[in-house]
Amino acid sequence: MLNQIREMRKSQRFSQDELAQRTGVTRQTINAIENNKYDPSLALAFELAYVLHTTVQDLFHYDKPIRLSDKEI
Amino acid sequence: MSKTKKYVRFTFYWKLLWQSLAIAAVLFQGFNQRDIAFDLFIACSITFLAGMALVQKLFDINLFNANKFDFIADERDAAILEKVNHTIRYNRDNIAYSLLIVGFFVFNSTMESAYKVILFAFFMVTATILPTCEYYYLWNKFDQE
Repeated sequence: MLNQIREMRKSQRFSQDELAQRTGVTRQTINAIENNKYDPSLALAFELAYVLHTTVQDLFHYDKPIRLSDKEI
Repeated sequence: MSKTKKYVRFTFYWKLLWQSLAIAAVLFQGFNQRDIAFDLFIACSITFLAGMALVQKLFDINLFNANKFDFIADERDAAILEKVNHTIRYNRDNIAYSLLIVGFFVFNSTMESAYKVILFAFFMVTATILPTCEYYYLWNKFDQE
């Protein structure tokens, strides 16, 4: 899932480690989320949004795969 | 490196060591080298117990009373653990059934006892060391994904 975590984190001058500590996860998890290699749980998504002073909708973007049936509609 | 990854790496080398000593003890016992087998058995036991003590000290995990999530740092590690355990369970069941079938035929055959000991050691390697290596390999693989 695409996200703006890296940009928002840098704008607030957090390191990955600091953000990890504030959200209760490891730095590796923050790195994986930023690089779109891991989709966080709902609770973690809300926690990230809270720490970065934004909303989940602004932080994450769902990249819905295009299906043929959608095109036909 | 995260606490989880340190734990996985530590337990990989610890298991490799004491399992190798156990298999070596069995091999020497099978070839009637009882003194060496006994020494290897003692070394295996010491390694095993020392490892458990170190896990308690370094990671604050009591292996006698632990559940599989005790060494997990966060939800991503939990997801990796589930993936690894799911993959391993499927492979482990297949290996166990294959070993049972082959072992039944081998140990009921008229093969010389030396060959039987070697085959038994081979089975032990397949049942212990291979899954240990597989667990470590899978953990690192899923961690990189």
